[in-house]
Amino acid sequence: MSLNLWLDIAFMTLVWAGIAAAWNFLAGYAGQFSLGHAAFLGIGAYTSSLLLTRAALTPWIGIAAGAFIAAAVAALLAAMSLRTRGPFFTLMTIAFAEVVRILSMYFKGLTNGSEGVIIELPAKLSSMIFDGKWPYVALAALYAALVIGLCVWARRTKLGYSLLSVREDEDAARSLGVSSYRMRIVATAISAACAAVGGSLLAQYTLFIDPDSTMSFMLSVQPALITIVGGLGNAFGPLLGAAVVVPLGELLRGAFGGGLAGLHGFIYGVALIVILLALPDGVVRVFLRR
Amino acid sequence: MLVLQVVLSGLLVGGIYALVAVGLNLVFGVLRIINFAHGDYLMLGMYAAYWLWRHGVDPYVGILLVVPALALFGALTERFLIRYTLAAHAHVKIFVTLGLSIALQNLALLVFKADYLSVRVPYQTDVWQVFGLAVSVPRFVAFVAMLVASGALFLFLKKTDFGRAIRATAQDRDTARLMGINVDAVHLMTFVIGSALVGLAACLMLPIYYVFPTIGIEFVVAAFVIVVLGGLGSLHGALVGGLVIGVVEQLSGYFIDSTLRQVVYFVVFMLVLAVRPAGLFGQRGAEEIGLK
Repeated sequence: MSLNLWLDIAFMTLVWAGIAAAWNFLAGYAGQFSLGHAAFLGIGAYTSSLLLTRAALTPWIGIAAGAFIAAAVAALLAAMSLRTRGPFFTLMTIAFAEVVRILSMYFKGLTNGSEGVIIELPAKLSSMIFDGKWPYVALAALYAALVIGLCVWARRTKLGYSLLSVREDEDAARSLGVSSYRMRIVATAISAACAAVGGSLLAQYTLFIDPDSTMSFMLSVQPALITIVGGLGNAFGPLLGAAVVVPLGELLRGAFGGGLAGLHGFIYGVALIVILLALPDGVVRVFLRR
Repeated sequence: MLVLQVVLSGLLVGGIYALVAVGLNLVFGVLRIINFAHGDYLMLGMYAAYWLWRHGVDPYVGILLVVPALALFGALTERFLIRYTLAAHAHVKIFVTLGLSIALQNLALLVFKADYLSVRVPYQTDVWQVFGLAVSVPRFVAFVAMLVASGALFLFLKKTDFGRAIRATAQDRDTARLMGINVDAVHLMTFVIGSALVGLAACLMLPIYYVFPTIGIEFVVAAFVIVVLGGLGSLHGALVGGLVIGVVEQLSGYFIDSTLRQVVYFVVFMLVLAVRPAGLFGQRGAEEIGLK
């Protein structure tokens, strides 16, 4: 295999480690299982790409704008979801992501609909487009390190402890004075903002986005799959999970993608079930065993 | 007149949604799991009915084979998969059925390819004219079958001992066990009924819809909306919810924009969850039972 292919896999692994870590912040710490993070990836990707192609605004600012919008939308979603718990929050996020995806196809004037947005610009640092793959890999590593670092740091703050208490028993947490509603809103917003950055990075890498490639339901499943394989609630679980899931996915797709469409997804599904039943704490457990 | 026609076709579409939703709601009410793979059972049933049609069996006759086959498949998944998730963490409950759904869809893609398949039967495009309104025959058949099946299920749950055992388990699993109810058998039977109902739905839908690996998603998503709207664990809620969603979908598709018809019912869904998560006919607090 060529170096480019390995760099490709490295980039995808690191970006997905970051996105999964963002998902884990909400799911692993606060116990809120979102299956709507594709919407935040899409909001990030569309914001930075449209600002770049339509307004010639550098993605270095566009990414921040996307994260900000995603956080605002997520806060609204979380505020609407305050009465839902457990699987009902999950259903809420699924519906939300579908609404965002359909609207992105409907408002063609803004998003080009299902034709998508192509970024056709010369390689330049200010437009975050590079000739080789190394700068992208470095960028992805920085992103993953920042999100995972945020998780490690937040775990030891008041926010982190509050989220964990909400996860363990929301009623008890509230009776002890933890403002669970505010914590849930804050956690959802942070998680969405971090995911949106990942969505922008993916867009800068592929230089083409459309509603399917940025917002399909499987993109909401992916961070959950990665985190569960790696280790839910552990800050390094998503990194470990991404290192297993992403290369495996790419290799399977490379090996069988053409002739046996579906095999790779089938293995994904079966692997998810097996890991959940055999290693519910994820692969990270194997390393932590004392 | 046109509005009446749209409402009528909405009711007929809603009947099919309701048939899928009734099974989902029953499984949710008793086992307290959200079965993401429910729609994929529907897809498997449709492929089975399609395969039978290719071998000369009419889809309506195929009911006799597809329903038992789906019931058996449901029994196997409950016994060897779902049972092990019931006492597990919340994330295991959610993601095991999601993993099953992904695996089944891709298995179908692997075996049947992504082609859209449909049967050709003589009554497929038949239409009855009733008071100037067009009634599609296969849709009407599906609607009547839905009413009969739900009525039978309702009577079973209300009048028989096993039905009472199912309802007792739905109310309180531990107390039911203390009263001598075989809760494991109740879970198994409930899952079998839910799967058999989608088997029935699959045969009734085959003359109307194309079958392809991801057909289940569309119907299971509608079924989730219906279950939440109608009320968790409420059978008549699922029926009414199904009809309401069918009409809402057709009306919004006609008067607003066909690409936005799903948005309308998703927004309804989110509003119900935001304001009254137990649904219209559900018991208050039903959404919190069994979550811990």
